[in-house]
Amino acid sequence: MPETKWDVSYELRLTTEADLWTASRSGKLKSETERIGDLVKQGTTAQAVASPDEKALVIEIPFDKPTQERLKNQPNSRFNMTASTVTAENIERLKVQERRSQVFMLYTVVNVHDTKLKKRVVIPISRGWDFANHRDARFNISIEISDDSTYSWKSK
Amino acid sequence: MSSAKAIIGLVLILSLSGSVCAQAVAASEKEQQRQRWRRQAIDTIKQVAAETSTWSDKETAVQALTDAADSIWKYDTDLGAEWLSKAWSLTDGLASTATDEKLKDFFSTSVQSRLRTRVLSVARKHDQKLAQTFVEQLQVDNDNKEKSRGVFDDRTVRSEQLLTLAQQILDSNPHEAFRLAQTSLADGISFKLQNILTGLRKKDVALANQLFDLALARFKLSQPEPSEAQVLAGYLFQSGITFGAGGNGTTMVVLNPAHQSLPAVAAKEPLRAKNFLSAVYELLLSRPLPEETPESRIKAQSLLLLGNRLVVPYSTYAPDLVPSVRSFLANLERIGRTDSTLSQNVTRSSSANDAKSPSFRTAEESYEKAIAELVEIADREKNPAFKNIAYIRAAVATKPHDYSRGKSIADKVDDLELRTETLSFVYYRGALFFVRQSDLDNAADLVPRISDVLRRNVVRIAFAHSLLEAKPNRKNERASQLNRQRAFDHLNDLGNDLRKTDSSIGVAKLMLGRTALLARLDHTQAVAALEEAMQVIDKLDKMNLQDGAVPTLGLSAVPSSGATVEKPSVGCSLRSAVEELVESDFDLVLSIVAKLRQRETNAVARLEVARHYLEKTDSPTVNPR
Repeated sequence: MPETKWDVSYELRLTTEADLWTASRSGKLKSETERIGDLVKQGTTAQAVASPDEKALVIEIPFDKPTQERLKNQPNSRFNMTASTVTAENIERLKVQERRSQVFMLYTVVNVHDTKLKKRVVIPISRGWDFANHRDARFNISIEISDDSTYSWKSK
Repeated sequence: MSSAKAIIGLVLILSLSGSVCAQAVAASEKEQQRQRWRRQAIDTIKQVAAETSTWSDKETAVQALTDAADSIWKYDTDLGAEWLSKAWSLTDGLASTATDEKLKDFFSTSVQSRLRTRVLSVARKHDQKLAQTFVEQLQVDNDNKEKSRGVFDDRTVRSEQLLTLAQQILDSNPHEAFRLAQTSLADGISFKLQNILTGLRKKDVALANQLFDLALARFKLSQPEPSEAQVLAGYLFQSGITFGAGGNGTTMVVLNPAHQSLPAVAAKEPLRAKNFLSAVYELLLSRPLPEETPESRIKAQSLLLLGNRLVVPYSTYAPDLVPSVRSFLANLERIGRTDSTLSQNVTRSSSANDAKSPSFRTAEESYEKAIAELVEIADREKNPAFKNIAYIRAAVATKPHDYSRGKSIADKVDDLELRTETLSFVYYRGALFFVRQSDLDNAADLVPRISDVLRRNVVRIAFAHSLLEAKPNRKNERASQLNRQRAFDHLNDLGNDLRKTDSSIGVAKLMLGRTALLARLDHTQAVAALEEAMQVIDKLDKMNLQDGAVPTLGLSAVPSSGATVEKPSVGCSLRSAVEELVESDFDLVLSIVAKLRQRETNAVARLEVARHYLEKTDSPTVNPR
C-alpha cells in the first residue's frame, strides 16, 4: 500500500473478570456502544503514519501506580472448584478471585487512507486480554484490507 | 389463355420451391455452425483443463478442473473422472482455516471444505463410486481437522461433506440424502443433521423417524457432547433453532427461517421424545459435575444451556425425571459463575428505569426508544473518534425507509468525509428499499443524493432491472416502451458514470450486470458493454467471474451495515452477462473474453463461455472428437 496513511485513536482500559462477566450478562459487552473498565490511557497517534516502511505502529503505555497495584494484586494461581468442593466458603473464594483477576480492554478506531483503493477505511476494533495469560502485557493486532475494501483483523 | 395460366402456375411453383430450398439451406448452415461451435466449445474446455497444471493459483485450478469435468463427462467419462480426481487431490493443498473472520465463532468453513463439497457434488452427480472413494479418503484426514472450531461446525470434515451433499439432494433424492446422513453418524451427531431431519420429515415421515432412531442409537453408544443433544432437541422441540455455548459464557443461536414455523415433532412422536430425554438425562444430566477449569466452564455452560432448554419438554414427556434434572441444574449453576444475583439486579434495575415495560411497547415505540438510546450514548461520548462511530451506528440502526432520520443523525458526525460516506450509505440503502417495494419515484429522488459512485450505480442497476421485470402492459404498449427506454437511460448513465471511475471489482461486477440487462434491450450495445467490462477486469489483479452477487457496499465503521441493505437480484457474473449473447454469437463472445491478459482469469472466462454454450445448445448427437 504505497503512500497509504493511517492513524489510530485508542483507549486502554482495565477491568476485572467479575465486572466483565456482569457486562457480558447485561449485554453491554456485545452492544459495542459502551466501553468497559477504568481508563488507563487514551490518545490518538500524533500524525498519520505513512507507508511503505511504517506499516506497524507500536504504542507503549507506562502504567501508573494504582494500575501497577491492581496488577500486583492479580492471583498467582487459579483456584478451581469441583462438584465435591462446593461450599459457601469456596464460592466466596471464587468471587474474590474474579474481582482480583484483571483484564485489559483495548478500544480503537483505526483510520486508513488507502491510496490504492482511493478510499478511507474506518475500522473500529475492541479487544480484551486477561492479565493471567498475558503477564508481559504485550498485545498485537494485525489488520488486512482486501481489494474490495473489506477488512479482517486478528489479535494475539 | 390456358398457356398463360400454365406459365404463371409454373413461376409460382418455382418461386415457392426456391424459398423452401433457401430455408432448408439456411437451417442446415445454422446447424453446421452450431455443431462447429459445440466442437470449439469442447476443445476450449480441454485446453483450459490442460492449462490448469501450470497455475500457481490452486483454488482456481480446482474450480476450473471441477467445472471442466462436469461439462465433459457426457462426452468423455474417463477424462471427466481424471480431471475430477486431479481436482480432489489439489484440495489437499488448500487453506483449511476459516474464511470468514466474522462468522468463525459460529462456523469455520474453509476454502478447502467449500471446494471439496464442489468436487464431491460433481462426482456424486456422475459417478457414485468415485464420490465414495473421495469420502473414504476424508475419513483418514479426520485427525487433521483444524482445532479452532466454530460452535456449530459439524463433527468432522467427513460428516461436514456428507451432510452438505445430503442437504443438496434432499428434495430430489430423499433416500440418498438419508443414506449420506446415516453415514455421517459414524462421526457423531453433527449440526447439519437437524436440517436434514426436519427436511426429510417434510418428504417422508417414516424415513425421518428411521434417521432419528439411528441418531439416538449413536447418541447412546458413547459419551455424547451436549452439542449433539442440542441438534436432536432442536429437531424434536423447536425446529429451525439450534443453541450452542461459546467462550466467555455466551449463548449462541443459529436460526433456519425455513424451518422455524413448523410444529414441534415431539407432539407427534411422544415416545421418541421421551426416549431422547431419558438418554440425555442418563448420559449428560446425571453425570458428575465437571471440574472448575476454563474448558469445563464451557462444558458446564453447555450443559446448563441444554438442561434449561429441556426443562419444559421434561415436564411434558418425562415428568418423572423433572426433580432430578432440576437438582442437577441447580448444582451446576452453583459451581458455575456465582454472580447470577448481580446480573439479575442489573436486569431488574434497567427494567425499573423504563417508563414502560418492553412487553407493553409497540414495535414502533421499541424502534423509537432504541434509536433514541443510541443517539443518547453518542451525545454522551467524549472521545471524538468514538463519538463519530457512535453516531454512525445510530444512523445505521434506523430503518431503510426512515432515511431522513438517518440523515439527521449522520449530520452530527463531526468529520466531513465520514459524514458524507454515512449519508451516501443511508440514501443508497433507502433507494434500494424503495426499488424493492416498486416505489420507483421515491427511489429516483434519492439517486442524485448518493455521492458514492458505486452505491449510486448499484441503485441504477437495480432500477433498470426493476423496470425490465415489470409485466408487459398489453393495453398500454406505450407504458412498456417507456419502461424500456427508462431502463436503457439508467444503464447508459451507469456506463458514463463508471467509465470515469477507477477499476475495481465492484465496477467490473456492475459492468457485467449492465451487459446482462442491455442484452435484453439491444444486442449490439450489449456486445460493446461486454468489451468494456473485459477492459475493466483486465486492469484487476484477480476477479472471481462466477460470483454474481451485486457488490454489498456497507460502511467499514459498522461491519454489519451491509446486512441491512436490500440485495438487488441482478446477476453480475460473466455467465449472466453472456446469457443472452452466447447462443447467437458464441465465437464473438469467446474472442472478446479471450483478450483478457491475466492467465487464470482468461482461462476461467473461456471455460465459462464454452460451458454455457454447451448447456444452451445441449444435444447428445454431437461427436466432440
